[in-house]
Amino acid sequence: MNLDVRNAEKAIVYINGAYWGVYDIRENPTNTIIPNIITDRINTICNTSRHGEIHGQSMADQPLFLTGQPCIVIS
Amino acid sequence: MTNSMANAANYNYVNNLYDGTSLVDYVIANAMTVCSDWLNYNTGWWRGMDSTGTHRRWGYILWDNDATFGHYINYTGIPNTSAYADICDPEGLTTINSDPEGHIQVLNRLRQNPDFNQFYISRIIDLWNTVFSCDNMIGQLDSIVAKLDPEMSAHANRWNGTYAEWLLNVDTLRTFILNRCNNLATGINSCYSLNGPYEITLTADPISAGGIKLNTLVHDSLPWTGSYFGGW
Repeated sequence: MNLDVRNAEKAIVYINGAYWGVYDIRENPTNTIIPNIITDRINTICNTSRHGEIHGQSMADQPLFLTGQPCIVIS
Repeated sequence: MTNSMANAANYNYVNNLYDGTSLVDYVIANAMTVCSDWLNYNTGWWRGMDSTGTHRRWGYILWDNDATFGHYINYTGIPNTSAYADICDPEGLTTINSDPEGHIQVLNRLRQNPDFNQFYISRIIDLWNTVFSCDNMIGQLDSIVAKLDPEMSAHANRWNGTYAEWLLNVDTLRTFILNRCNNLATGINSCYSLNGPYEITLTADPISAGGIKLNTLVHDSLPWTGSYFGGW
């Protein structure tokens, strides 16, 4: 399909030795990652996401994943 | 948004800057999966600035598609969150609340161009035969389930769930997917005044003579059988 996606892989996560379960590792579409994928230099990624979301557990347990993503402008 | 896309010069101007085929795939992917958290959230589009690059036109990236297949909250205000939602439902998501950035208005405007409109409807049918066929979607689900299954007892225990509950959720997802792919033909007919589907088989003589382009897809592995519509 003529769509871009973030590549992902499943992972079993431990944080400071504590078992955290199954997660997706995903590419972070920043200016350092995306150009490696598509060989283009990007000037804008617009994304109207409110925040990152992890479901199945309390969001309060997942502060690392609460990332705001407004339009990214890369010069 | 006021220029007619039925005018070839206007359409070509837009087409040089904006990849309408990416918009079509973006809309179809979300329509097929009955996404209810897109357009007003989770919409990404980008273009490259390298003059020698391959993505100079604006195109789309999928983002945060967990509100699909009946899961989660209807943030977008789609008219039907069930597996029986019409494939053309997104075409009506033109309010400021559902689509504040006007992606669907762009789609509907581009469909004023007859070639683009035919591409859009053909693409729906092509992808229903391939990416979003029952076989392909259930195969994808099964491959993910097989990968996760060995770890799910431990994961469920960590987050105060149960393995049995996970299996039940997988079954719910599987049922939704099957209902969706098995009933899409009805919606395709009613949305676009078509009839069918009718089974077609592509082949060549000799069989290794080459591939066959059908609408937006090239089928290299022959014979290939699919389901297509009449009445256009």
